[in-house]
Amino acid sequence: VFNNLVMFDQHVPQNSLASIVPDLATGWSWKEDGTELTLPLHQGVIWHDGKPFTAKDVQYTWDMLTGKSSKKLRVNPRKSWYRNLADVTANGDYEVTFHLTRPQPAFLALLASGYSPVYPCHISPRDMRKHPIGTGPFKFIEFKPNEYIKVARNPNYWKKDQPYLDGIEYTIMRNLSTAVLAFVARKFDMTSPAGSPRQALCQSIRWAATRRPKRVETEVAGHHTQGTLEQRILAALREAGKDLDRLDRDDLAPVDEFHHAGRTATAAFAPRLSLHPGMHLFDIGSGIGGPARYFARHHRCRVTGIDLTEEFVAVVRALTRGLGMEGQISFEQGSALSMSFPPQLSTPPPCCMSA
Amino acid sequence: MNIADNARLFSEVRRVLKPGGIFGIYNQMRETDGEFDFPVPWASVPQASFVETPATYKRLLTEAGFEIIWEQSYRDDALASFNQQTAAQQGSSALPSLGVHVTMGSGAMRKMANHRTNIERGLAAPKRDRRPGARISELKPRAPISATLAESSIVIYL
Repeated sequence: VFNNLVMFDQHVPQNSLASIVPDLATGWSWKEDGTELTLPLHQGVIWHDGKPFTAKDVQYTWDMLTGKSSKKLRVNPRKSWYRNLADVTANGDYEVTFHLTRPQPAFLALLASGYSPVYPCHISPRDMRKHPIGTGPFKFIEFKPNEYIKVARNPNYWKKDQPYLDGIEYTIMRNLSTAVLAFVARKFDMTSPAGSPRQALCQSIRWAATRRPKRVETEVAGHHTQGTLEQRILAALREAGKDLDRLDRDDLAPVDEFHHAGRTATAAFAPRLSLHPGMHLFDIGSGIGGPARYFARHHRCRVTGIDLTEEFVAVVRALTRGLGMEGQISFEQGSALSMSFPPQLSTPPPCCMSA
Repeated sequence: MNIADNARLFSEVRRVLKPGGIFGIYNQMRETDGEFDFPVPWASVPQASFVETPATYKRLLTEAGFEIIWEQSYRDDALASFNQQTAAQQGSSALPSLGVHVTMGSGAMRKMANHRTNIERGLAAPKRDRRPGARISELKPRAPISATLAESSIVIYL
């Protein structure tokens, strides 16, 4: 999302003062006594919201980091890095000078670190926490706590023809072993496990060896797997004359309730569960989510579904996103015989099973 | 829901459920002994089909610490919904574009036909409970968790 003034050349395996290259700055020069670092800046760079990037933004960023600005960061561990920084001055719109209290040749390495992006002076730290604006190759799209961060390609990026990717989706997985396993299963292109990756990898390999799904579960899940379910559903909806861009939850009712008597049975079953709005419902064998959507919509319950069949989970997640229901319902792939959920979900949840 | 080890399932549910929570089951249950015709919607082969009697469900639930508060057979409703489907299709051999057959995948017609036959034969479907909707109060609570036992399609207890 952001750019630095200078950065470590990413093609050099080990960072050092010698591998620092310009980024938003076009270069740098030290005053002879080593107390002033001057950096000319790229012109024509714009923030993701279209405002021009200038020396004022650089000055603002380091004033905030050193606590001089009236705008404050909520947590500011980097303040101690800049004990030796007396002041930052803007010389016109496209040059800045860092004034140090005494010489510090390694100061440039601080500016090259991954924790030294430049922030826009026209946006408050409070707004930045919700929707960061940078000059970088990717624009912030959405952050869902504990779920994901999405960024998309910045079409106006100032480095020509970059970036090469259309976007990045970061999936947040709290459990390191789960994350490594998902990576090993090729669900993700990259992973960066915190802590010790080697230890996690060893643990997960052990876990995979001991917790391999039982043969019978593989059989049960395999029975329901088609590989083309999402396409089939979309094709059927199209054939029935539904507008795929304006899909209503009820459009899915004929296909999404797998048990007998479908929606009618769900509606007849519901009153027996003493449901109330906000209640957390847990659906074992959630399939492609028909009952979950029903309970979320008609009873305003929060629903967590679990299903053994991976394809059902992939399809139901796509449907949930398409219908914009991520806030109310969520789905996990897993076995109901060894559930990863902690005991006693937050509010008294009834459980619901469906055929 | 087609689960091999219901005892383990119920103990897992009990672990995850908050005390006082309700556990509802709506599932196919077996009425009498006998062989089902396969494939059925939940399994292609008998080895992967786990259909128990309501009595087994109730015993396992009670053992897992649930109190049964309500039960009902939905056999008649299942048959009615089958008949309704047949009526809707009268005069047309084609399936409607939207229906569970989409989700069920290959051989859906055969699975559903077998399913219906199994219900009609009374294999998978016990008769409607003598006291539909009644609370089964004779069962003593063993734990502060209650279960709503909902039998399936073929046989749905609530």
